[in-house]
Parts: sequence; C-alpha cells; structure tokens
Amino acid sequence: MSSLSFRRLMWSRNFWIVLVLASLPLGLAVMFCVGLMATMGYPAQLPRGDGNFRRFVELVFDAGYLSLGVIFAGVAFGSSAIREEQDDQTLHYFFLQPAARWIILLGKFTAFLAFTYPVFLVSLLLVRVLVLAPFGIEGFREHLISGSELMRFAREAIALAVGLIAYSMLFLALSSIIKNNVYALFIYGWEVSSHFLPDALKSFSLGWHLREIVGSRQEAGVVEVLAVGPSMLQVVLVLSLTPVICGGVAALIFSRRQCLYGTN
Amino acid sequence: MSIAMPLIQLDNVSRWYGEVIGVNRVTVTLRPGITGLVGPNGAGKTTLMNMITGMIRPSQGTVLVGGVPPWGSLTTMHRIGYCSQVDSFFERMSGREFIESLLMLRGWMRSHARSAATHALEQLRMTPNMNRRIQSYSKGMRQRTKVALAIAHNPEIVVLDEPLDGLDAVGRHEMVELIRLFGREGRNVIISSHVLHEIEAMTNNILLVSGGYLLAEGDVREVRTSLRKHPNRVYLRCADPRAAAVFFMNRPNILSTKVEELDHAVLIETRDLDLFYSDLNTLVLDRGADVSLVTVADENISSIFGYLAGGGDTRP
Repeated sequence: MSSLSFRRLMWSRNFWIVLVLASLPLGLAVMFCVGLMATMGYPAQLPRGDGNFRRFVELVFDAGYLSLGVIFAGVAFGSSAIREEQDDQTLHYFFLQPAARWIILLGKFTAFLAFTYPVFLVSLLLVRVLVLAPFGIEGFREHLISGSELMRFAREAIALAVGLIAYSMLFLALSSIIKNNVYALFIYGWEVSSHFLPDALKSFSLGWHLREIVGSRQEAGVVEVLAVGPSMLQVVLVLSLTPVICGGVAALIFSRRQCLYGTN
Repeated sequence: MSIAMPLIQLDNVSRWYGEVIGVNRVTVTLRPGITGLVGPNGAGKTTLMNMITGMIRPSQGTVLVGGVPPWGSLTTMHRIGYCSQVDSFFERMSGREFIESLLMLRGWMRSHARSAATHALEQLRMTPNMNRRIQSYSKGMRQRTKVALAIAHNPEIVVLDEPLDGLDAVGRHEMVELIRLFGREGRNVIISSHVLHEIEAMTNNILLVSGGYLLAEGDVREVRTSLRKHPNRVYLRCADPRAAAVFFMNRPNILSTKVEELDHAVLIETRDLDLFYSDLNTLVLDRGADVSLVTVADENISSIFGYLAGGGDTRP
C-alpha cells in the first residue's frame, strides 16, 4: 500500500505543495545570505555572541516550519488522502482489495511521511547552510557541527517529525467529518495566535507543545495566567495522543465509508 | 474447474439515496454461470452490482455472497473481481503496472503479481500496449485493462458492468468469447450491458431491472412463456400481406393483424404460438402463400422488456 501510495504521490498536487512549503524557509535563508554578503562581503565577520544568529535560525524554524510548513503539509495530506481518490473515482480499487480500511489509510500516511519528512529535513539543513554560508568555514565549524548546534538540529528534526504526524492525523480526522477545508484556516489562525494567548489556552495548541521539544520559549502572553510552559509529560501526552485519537477517528469513519460514485 | 462456486443471494434488498430509490425489494439467487443484468440507465444495475461487490451497503434486506455479507468481508474480496463502469485509472502507470500494483495490495509477491498481470492482459489482447501509460490508451484499451484487472487474480465471481462499452466489433466478439469461457468454467459471472443481442449471445439467464424493480428473471424463453397474458407478436413477410392478414383474422387464436405495406409484411398478434404455426403451415401449403420471413418479434430481450416496462417497439 505504501509503495502504491508513494507512486501516486509523485508529481501529484501534494508533491508540489510539499516542495513549495519546504522552499519558503529556503527563500528566507537565501535572502539573508545574499543580503549579508552584499553588505558585509565574504567572509562576513561572525557576530559577537551567537544570540542574533541563533534567534534568526529559531525564527526561521518557527515561522517557516512549525507555523507554516507542518500545518499546511498536514492540511494537504488530511484533505486529500481519501478525497483525491474519491474525486478521481479510483477509490473503489482500494475498496475491492482484501485489506482492512485502516491499512489503506496507514499506507497513504506512511507514503506521505516518507516523502515529506526527508524533504523538510533537507530544507532545514540547507537553511542552516545558507544562513552560515556568508561566514565561511569558521561559521560552519562554530554553528553547524558544534555539539550544541547538532543537538538543536536533532530536536528540530524530532519536532518536525512529530509535528507532521500530529497535524496530518488531526486534519485527516477533521476532513473525514467536515467536507469544507475552511476549518484549516481556523486551526492555522489559532496556532499562530496562540503566541499571544495565556498559557492555559496555549495548551490547546499543538505548536506550543512542539516548541517545547525544540526548547524555544515564546514571549509572555498578553494575559499571564500561568507563567510556565507545558511539562514534558504533557508534551508527550498531547503529541502522542493527538495522532492516535485523530487517526482512530479517521479510520473508524473511513471503515464505514461507501463508494457511491458510479451509480446513476 | 470443479470448485463449489458461491451463491449470490439477495433477500428483499433495497437501496435508496436520499429520496431516490436505487433498488427496491429485490429478491433473487444467482447461481454459477452467466447472468445478464438488463435494464435502461438508472434501472439499478450498477447499484445491484455495487452491493454484491461490497462497495455499498443495502439500506434494507440482506446480500449474501457464499453465505457472507460482502460489505467489510475480506474473504469475499478475495473471491470477487469487479469491472466497474467508471473509466478511471492511475493514469501515469502502464496497464501492467496498474494491475500489478493492485495485485500486490492483495499481498501477492511482485513476481507473482507481474506474471498474473501479464497473463490477464494477454487474455485481453493487450500485450503490445501493456507497458504504455494508461493515459495514452484508447477507450477500448482502457476497457480491456479494466476487465483484465477484474480477472487477474482468478476470482470465482466476476462482476462486469458494461464490459463491452468502447470495444469495436472484433473486441466485442473476443470479450463475449472470454465471458462465455468463464461461464463454462463454472464461475459466477454477472454482466450488464445495453447491447442486448450480445447479452443474449452470452447467456439465456437474465434479470430484467427497471426503476429499481426486478421485473423478471430466468431464461429468456421461460420469461416469455410466463407472460401468458401478453400475446406473442409475429412478423410475417410475404408477397401478399393483405391476403395473409385476412386469412389470420379469421382464426380464433389471433388477436390482431396489422399490414405494413412498405415492408410487404404483416404484424400478427396471437394468443397461442403453436396454433399460429399450424395456421401458417395451412397458409403456405394449402393456400400457396409466398412467405419469405417469419420472426417471433418478442422473444428477444428488448421486446420482453418493452412489455414489462410498458411500451417499446417489438418489430425486428
């Protein structure tokens, strides 16, 4: 199922959506690289302290991946996993197979993840390379292959994977229930605006928990109710239960789905 | 093939889509062999096929395939091959890849799936084209690919929704022969078509469906015989149709005659076909009538359907 779904994914609409989403942060990084080299020449002097550089990388990761990439990649998967087959009228080919319906969903999901995650990961690495390129070899040595930076990169990679899984399952469940994709805008709006909400309301944001994996702290909310971030236990619970529950809901709804096209 | 083929049983089956009734209280048992499903567009043929193959659930009643409801039954999916009327594929794949990938979904090894796909496409005369992308196929090739997919895993039950659609005359003939082969092998073959004489060429066992109702089932001739209240219509072409009409009007079993001058023919309505033939012998042998054609106009499916559904021209 995964290999068939992977083939179906290639050159499809989702294929291009994922590439575009992965390219957006790259575009930011390219602008940074070109701008820096244009103003400071090559190689540019490393900034004093690494606070500004690290902050820029955090911003690119937060804005380009956690707040945009994984959410809309999840929307692309969730809204089209079954609907695409329904619209193409190829759903009956899967229904005619002696395979449980949830296996069909799982195969589509693993194919999507197998393509999307490496693309995002490569994009993430390229962003770092581009951001550091103006600083030459010394920049790479200090900010790419140092222990702390490798650790940070690993945490971002984990957050990326968990985010893709969580959002994909969330949107898969929602698209099983709601035909119109406008709910995606509400969820995106919620995730983006959670920056400005009290911690109690932030608990309902997947992004807030994902950021805890990376370790980037958000600015204090407008109204401080609780001044602490989520515990690691809460992070693990939310980020593991969300895909399980949402995936279960989607599988249950899909198992009852009938193939209604073709009857006139 | 000496396998105990499963029965397909529909018991008081209905299916509605909102306020539209797709199938209404159909009770029928389909035995091994070829069953022709005949009816106009919207009659409920595809709905019946979709319920038999487990694509949709009946709104009421039970559908059993080999004693098991097909909906959600993985065992039944192993036994069924379905050629839907929908013309949709994974367009970027070749025909062989398309069938091979779906066979692998059944848990088949790639090599086994490939050889089965190749064999199925060979049966459908698709060997020269099987490695081309489906998006480059003609309508006939696409149809053959669909049928090849339906038979590739050697199913016991083959359900073919309009399999002759899009095929040229040679292709239709080959498809008919292939379907008849399935029937001889003892498989349970259900086929729908609008090409009525080709349904008749494949099977005498028919189900007539219209408006969601099962109007009649069984052998074409038996169905006809059971309609005793409907007279037989005979088309008789001869040199003097008026004289023939006068002759038959005096016979007690004749209900009506209608002369068709342009065709040199007379359309005769009779209550008793055997008596009519006896009278015909008298007309030809004793009266010396020059008769060139005698056809029972309503022993074909379209005529019977016309009777049952109310209307329809029964002339050949």
